[in-house]
Amino acid sequence: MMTCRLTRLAILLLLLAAGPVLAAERSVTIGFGIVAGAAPVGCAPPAAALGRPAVAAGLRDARFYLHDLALIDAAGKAWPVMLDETLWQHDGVALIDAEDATGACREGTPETNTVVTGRVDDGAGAGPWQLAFTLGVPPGLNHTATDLAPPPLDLAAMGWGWQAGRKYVKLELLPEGGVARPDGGRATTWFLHLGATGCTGNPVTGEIVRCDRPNRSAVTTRPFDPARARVVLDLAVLFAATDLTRDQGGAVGCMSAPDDADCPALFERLGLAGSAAAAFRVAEK
Amino acid sequence: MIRRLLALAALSLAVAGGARAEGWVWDLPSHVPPPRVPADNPMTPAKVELGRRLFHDPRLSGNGRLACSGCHLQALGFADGRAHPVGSAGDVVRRNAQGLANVAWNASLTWANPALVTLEAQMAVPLFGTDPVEMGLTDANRETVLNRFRSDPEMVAAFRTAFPEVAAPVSLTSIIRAIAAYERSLVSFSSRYDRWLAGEERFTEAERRGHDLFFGEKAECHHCHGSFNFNDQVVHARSRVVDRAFHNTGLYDLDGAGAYPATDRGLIEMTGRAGDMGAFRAPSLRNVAVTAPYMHDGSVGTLEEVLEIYAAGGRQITGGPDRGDGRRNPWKSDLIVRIDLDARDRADIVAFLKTLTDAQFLTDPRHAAPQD
Repeated sequence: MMTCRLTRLAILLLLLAAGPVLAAERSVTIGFGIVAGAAPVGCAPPAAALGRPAVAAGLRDARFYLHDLALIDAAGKAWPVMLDETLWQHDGVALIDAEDATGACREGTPETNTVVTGRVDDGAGAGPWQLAFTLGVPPGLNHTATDLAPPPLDLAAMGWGWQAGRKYVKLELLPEGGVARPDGGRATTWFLHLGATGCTGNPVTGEIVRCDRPNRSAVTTRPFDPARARVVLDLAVLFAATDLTRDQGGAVGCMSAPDDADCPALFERLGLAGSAAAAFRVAEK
Repeated sequence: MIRRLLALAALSLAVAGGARAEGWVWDLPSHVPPPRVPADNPMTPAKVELGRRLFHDPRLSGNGRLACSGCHLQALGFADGRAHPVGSAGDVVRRNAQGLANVAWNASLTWANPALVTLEAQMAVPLFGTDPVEMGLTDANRETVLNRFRSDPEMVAAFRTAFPEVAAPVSLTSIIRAIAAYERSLVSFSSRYDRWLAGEERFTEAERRGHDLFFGEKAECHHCHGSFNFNDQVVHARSRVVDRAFHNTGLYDLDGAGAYPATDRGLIEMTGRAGDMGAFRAPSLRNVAVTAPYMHDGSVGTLEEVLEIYAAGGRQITGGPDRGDGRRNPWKSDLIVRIDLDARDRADIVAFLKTLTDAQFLTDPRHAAPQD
């Protein structure tokens, strides 16, 4: 393993020295965001009006992981984006983070992140491109301990020990007036925790062998120029058919339970029901 | 020069300590195979000792108020005597705290989760869980918690001794590994039953009858509680095939279609399969007499009541929000049928179950909170 790593390092050094090889690659920065229609989403008021019927919903958390980024050129060819290693990116996985640990978002991180940076082969041309990515964390990195993983996979808040993986999407909303529960009680927070479910452990290694529902969503946008536009998760679209003032049973909101009645409408808009991921769209910067 | 020699000596001691990892002695009866231990967390006396301290240390919780031992009391077989444990911030936990005797052999941890197959992985739930909050660790207080131990020279020394190969040993990884090692050391094979097996003790007439009923074809308790650990999810060092069985025992049927209370529907929450409604893992019965109340939700107070429910083939609840006839739950295990145990049968089985109490385990100073 060490030899392998050294070899890779040696090759990297050679590449750096060789210059021209790198010239075939280009840095690329893709902007991301979490919005509610035309408005940005943040922990500070005003709360966005979301759901049907619309209700002012403050933010408690808003983060998601993505991986397998690729630019798709006009000819339909996919050019993989090699992500830089940063506090927000590791091994091809990036975390988009719209909460800043203020207000009700107190379990979050003060820093936010709205870009993904990497390198792409020069053959990808100048754009505009479609952007393809997968919402979630790939299997090999998903089922690891947060205390062992490098950033951004080290966040306990994005860990999902109970489901033995990560929360791919963590959206926690505070609808004005609270959430009515079927048992007559009320809750303050409407949760969307997307992640793999139905996972079973491997008897030999002690690690995860299989998840019945990986719940990773492949997203492809319409063509856009990253210099002028970005990709946003639009909560107005995501929650368009969801009544945030009422929970229909199971977890309050949707914690990805296969039979939670609050999940199907959201899964459809996230692209998990054979449909396009309508909740993600291209927006001007 | 002398200093270098000392350093060398310390290093060789450390290496020897590492080598002893494989030399950890499992003090087991001949019919019990050693448990499976993850390759990256071998057992060592120093690690178990550190784990013992951490397990009993409330500094490990976010607000410094709750230790693991707050919900896992040695005198109660490491259960807590309540129907529902209470987390460090006051959250009521929906499931009953389980005893920890012989957890090293469990094929899965917790009541109904086939994904949690190592003690190390399971620990993320009490440490970081938010629904409910148990120990209350978060990204924000993680360093604060670690610094409590970093500022305690005795604890730093214990971490160094337990993890001699790690440059900065006071970490959550070390904490998780040490507590898991300590939990694996919680071995209970010194009950009257074990001594009876070894030919060192005699059963009373009632205990003997209870034993025969338990393992016989009438009561059939052994189907789910028949292993050396009195459960049916066992993994050990030589296991080739591991079963992870979960069973609906007919405790509830809210709607005539098998529904369990929405607060806890069992394995179906993980799998989404209708047939997994109300399915839970059969717990080990080691020290069962001191781990009341019983069932996944602590809804049964005594062993006598448990036996009544099994004798009836399930539980009928005639009033209140949980009203329904669990005996008719369509997802109930085929092994749970009305077995017409009379009062004496039930009393004898309870008498037998009480022989599984391991007084030595419940008081063993090797498992106890360190005395300051």
